[in-house]
Amino acid sequence: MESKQVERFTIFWTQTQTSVLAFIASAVTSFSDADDILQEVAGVAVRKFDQFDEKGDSSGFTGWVINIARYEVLMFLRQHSSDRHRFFAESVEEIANAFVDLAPEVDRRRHALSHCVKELGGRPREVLDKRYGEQMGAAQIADLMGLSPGNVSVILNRTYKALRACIEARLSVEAG
Amino acid sequence: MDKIEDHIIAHFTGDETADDACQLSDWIRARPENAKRFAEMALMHGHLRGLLSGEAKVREIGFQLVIRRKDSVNDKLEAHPTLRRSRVILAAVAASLLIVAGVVGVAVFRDGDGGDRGGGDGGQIAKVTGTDANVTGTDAKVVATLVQSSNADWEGTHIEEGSPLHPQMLSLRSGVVRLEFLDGVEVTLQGPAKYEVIAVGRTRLLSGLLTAIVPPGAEGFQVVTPTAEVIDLGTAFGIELDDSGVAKVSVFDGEVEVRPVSNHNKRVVQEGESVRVTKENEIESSEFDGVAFEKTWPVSSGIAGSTGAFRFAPQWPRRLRFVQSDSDIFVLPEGYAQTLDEPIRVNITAPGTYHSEADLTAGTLPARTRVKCFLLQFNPVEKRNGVHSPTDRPNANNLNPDDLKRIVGEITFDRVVLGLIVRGEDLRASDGRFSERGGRVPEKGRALELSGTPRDDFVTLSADRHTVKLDLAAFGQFSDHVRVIVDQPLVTPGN
Repeated sequence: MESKQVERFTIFWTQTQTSVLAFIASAVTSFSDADDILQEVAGVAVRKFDQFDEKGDSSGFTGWVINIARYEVLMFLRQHSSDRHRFFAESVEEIANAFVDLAPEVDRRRHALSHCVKELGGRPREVLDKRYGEQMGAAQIADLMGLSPGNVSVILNRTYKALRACIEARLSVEAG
Repeated sequence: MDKIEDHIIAHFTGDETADDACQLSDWIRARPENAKRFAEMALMHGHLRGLLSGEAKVREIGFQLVIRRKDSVNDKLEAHPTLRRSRVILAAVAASLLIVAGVVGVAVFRDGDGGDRGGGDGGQIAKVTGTDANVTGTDAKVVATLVQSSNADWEGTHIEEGSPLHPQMLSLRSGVVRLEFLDGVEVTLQGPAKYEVIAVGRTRLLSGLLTAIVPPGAEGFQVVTPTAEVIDLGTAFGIELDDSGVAKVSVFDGEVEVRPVSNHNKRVVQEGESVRVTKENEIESSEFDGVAFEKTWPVSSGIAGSTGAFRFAPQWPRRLRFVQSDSDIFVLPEGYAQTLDEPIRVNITAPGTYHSEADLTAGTLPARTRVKCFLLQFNPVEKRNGVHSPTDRPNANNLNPDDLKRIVGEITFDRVVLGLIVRGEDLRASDGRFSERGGRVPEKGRALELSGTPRDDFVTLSADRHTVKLDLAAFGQFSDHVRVIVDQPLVTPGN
């Protein structure tokens, strides 16, 4: 790969990586597994970048990489005999298309979320930090905080709903 | 729609059953909008990881990308991708790819820096920011405090008001007590009762009756009974156990999840509903009736005592318009304890007796103060289908003070009163904050009449700032409202 191509790939990749990781994580629960698959996808994308339409923009790139990712994810799920294999195999087409459609909104959604997260306090923030910052499972968080795993799930459920509502509210304010 | 949202969330929390997965898959395929909704949630999941996992993690991902590329191109040694981590330090990275690493690492890190690039100030998370539940940094063995006790007779060791509570069994022969957990959850127990405090958020009721108020931020509070597990979803609720241990769960506000202890069934019980969980582990609908909890209301509200005209209205739901009496002043707790996110104007801040607007000691309660709020309401029974006639309006100039009926009462709170709101515009300005579901409060005619004449209203805040006395002139169809804002810091052991 020539240096200009490397630069071009890098720019495209930085704009796409979050969507690709989110797409992978929509089928693979473990953060560590999702990272591994992302890395596989990146490797394939680098090797095949010559085949990508050079005139394509980054949103075209997103679709192209997600297409790579869907095969990597399906392969992973098959290899690990995951219960999720059927779920993902059935709906992967629709999910992949949705991610491509969402590509132009990714930055706006991230900014909205970062504001919303800052407004979180108390136990919801603590649970979220442990889940995402320290990558703990519900049982670990429950042990640490003296709660039951059911409690942790309830807190996460409510927090996700509140964050989602907050994101939509911010986006609609921005849209005027 | 909510059920699907729960399925989507369960998918990302790992709580999904095979059935849930099938339903979710069908739903995603049904319409592109559904798939988009799912993708939005997946994206939020990914962004949360980026935002909360910190610089080291995202730089590592960026760097690994480069190392992996090097490996992929030059050799096929890796049997499994996880091996890459141990190989990072061994790899010789080409100069051009280090450039890639730099760019990727920095770019990805924008996920983690909070990214204040644009976006307005709209969109608040009102439901999850109310409580600063800081459980860390305190003695881990102390989980709650006994904050109030009314005629309590304990079996075994007597427990004084203010005592810290460790994980322990509480056996109350009679009386009513209130516990406050470190995360702000308040539990009122009515004897005879046996109640085990296990941890913050985790308790067990073996016999008796309790009510619980779970403020925003402390959701997930759990009470296990002999037949059921009750998990709060942001609520006020009550549990009565009969002699055989069968639990009746009544929800006053919000919703709770009820699960029989020995099977996987569950039911979400909504405000105004009751269920019984039988010994056979069946969940049966039951008639909602708050009367059983009536004795706990004053204590669970933080009322230390009252005299004269004061009466307690059912805590939940609060339909102000229908709480009426020609002779009583109702005490209505207004929702959960909350932390003020902006300053609030009050009209009386100092002890004393007030019957003239000119004497009011106005002030502002600062943001970040944790408070609880009560509405003291005198609301005469409506006589004309709720329509106030102009002829009801008294002509103050012609009124003889001796002809007025006066309604007098004192109410004492267990915490310090920070301020009183008695003026109409300030009552209205604070309605939205404190009276979320109250609604339908009168727009006019609810302020105290404070003109300084004997036929006006009088309000007194005691020297110790715990007691409010109202001496109200009752005439016509006019209501009187006083909003009382009480200090409600989170209880920490030793305080």
